[in-house]
Amino acid sequence: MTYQTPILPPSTADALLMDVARRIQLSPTKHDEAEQHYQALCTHVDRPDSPLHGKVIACYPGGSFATGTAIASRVSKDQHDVDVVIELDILPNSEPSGVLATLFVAINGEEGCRYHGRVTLNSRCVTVTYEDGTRVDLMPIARLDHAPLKAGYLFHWRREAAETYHKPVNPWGFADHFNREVAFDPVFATMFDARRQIADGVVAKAETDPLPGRVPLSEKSSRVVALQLLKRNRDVRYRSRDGRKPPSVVLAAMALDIGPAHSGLVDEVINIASHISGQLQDHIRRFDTLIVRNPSFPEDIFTDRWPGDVAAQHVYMRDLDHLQRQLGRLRSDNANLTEMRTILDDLFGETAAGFAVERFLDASRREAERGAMRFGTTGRILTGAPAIVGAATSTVARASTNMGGVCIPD
Amino acid sequence: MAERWPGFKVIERDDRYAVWQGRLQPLQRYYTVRIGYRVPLAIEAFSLLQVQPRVQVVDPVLEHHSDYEEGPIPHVYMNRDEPRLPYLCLFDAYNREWTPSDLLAATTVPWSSRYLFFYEGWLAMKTWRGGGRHPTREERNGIATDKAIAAV
Repeated sequence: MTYQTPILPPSTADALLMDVARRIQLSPTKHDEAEQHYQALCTHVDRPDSPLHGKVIACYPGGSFATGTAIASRVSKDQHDVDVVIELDILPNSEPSGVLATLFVAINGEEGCRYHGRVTLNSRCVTVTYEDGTRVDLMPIARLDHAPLKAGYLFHWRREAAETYHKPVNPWGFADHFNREVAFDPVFATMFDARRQIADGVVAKAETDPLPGRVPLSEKSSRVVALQLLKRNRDVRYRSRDGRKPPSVVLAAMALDIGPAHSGLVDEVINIASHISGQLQDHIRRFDTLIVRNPSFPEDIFTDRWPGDVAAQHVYMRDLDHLQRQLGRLRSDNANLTEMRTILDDLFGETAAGFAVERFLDASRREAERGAMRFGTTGRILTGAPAIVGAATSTVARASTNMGGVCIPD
Repeated sequence: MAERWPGFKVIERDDRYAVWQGRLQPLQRYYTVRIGYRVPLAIEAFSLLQVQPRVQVVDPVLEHHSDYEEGPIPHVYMNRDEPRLPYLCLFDAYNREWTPSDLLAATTVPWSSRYLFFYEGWLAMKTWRGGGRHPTREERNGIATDKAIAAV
């Protein structure tokens, strides 16, 4: 299938956001590494001398990894976390502390064992931290009868707070629902891929249609990429705050309630941010708290640990409003490149912002070197749609070399 | 010039010499730029370095940052008379990337805007990402001189 609609290059602001997104995403290598990590872990849990030998029914990624919305937890070091669900053949009402402790022992093993000393017991999962800082959270669940496919109980135990309970969940069901609901957008996927080629200076490959199976989940729609940006912004904002941050799954589920995605990335981030902010505002006005349920299994309440109270909603609502204002400035006609960089630094952190501005400049330099840079009648460098719309009245300048360092001879 | 760059006006003129001044907006910010050019006589022997159009950024004046890559100001020719207003180095005279047969409107003006675009990038990143080179020692010492050419 060939797409007949001409695909316009992204605007400057969209191009910058695409480059920020590319920097925070998991690289294919990291993605493969993460898969190898969790598969090896699950095999390890099921090994013959493990207390859970023969009890592992299935192991699959949950959360962001399964919906393509995963981002690096520490961008400068390309560190990432992977949430993995490990389905165990145990009774759903097993004692949470016992289940979590047994999984801890199964992974930690004896001294000298591969994961020994790298394992932490948390309230709902067991975390393994690898040498490069990557973390895999293994969450045990026990499947429930008479419930949707793969729905089960998770096990919650916190000694300090004397909390122990079971919670109905269905991470697989949500990922499946999300991936079906968020349609593959060939226009966006093509723009995103073209941006990668231009920004990274990759020689254009033979024209191919992006097919859903070949496009990574993480690039299939502006909604997915916008969610990655929203999560990155949340992580930056909550860096120095105590308390819980809005869970990724809450943001992803709320994003499904909005109409069709916009092809423009800035528009889509604003679209989602505005929707979530509006919802929070409604609950703040009513002095109650937001409740978001798993659409594939309504008993699974995503908001069980956040927001918790009206104040927490207020904090995030302010963040989302700030995000929208800053993105509005980014695409306005009044920002110079230093200001754009400052906005991106503020919203997404220095590493990703620096990467995006560098790529933007480098792509422009390559255009200049090819003699393909276009100028409007005020000298404006035309990129994106204006370059095509204004092609008739614009000036194309041939390449030249910046020199300097001496005086002009008299 | 008036057709392609309506914002530029001639502010000084005699037989073979003219100065244009106008505003360029490579991204969002406006810069007032002055371009002076004297057409060489056909009988003159000249070098491109000497006869090239003189481009200056009048407002805002280019910022000095000695700690930035290519600082204090990237890719400019010093101006002994007015140090605050150096001349932009927009092409490689040694390799004849520009000659007097080229239209300023097709070369000097868009190249100035391109320079300012990367100048904004330099301010944002503290590194020059617009490409370019510096004259080699031979070029500086006049061993490999910029090409002396006949006027058009």
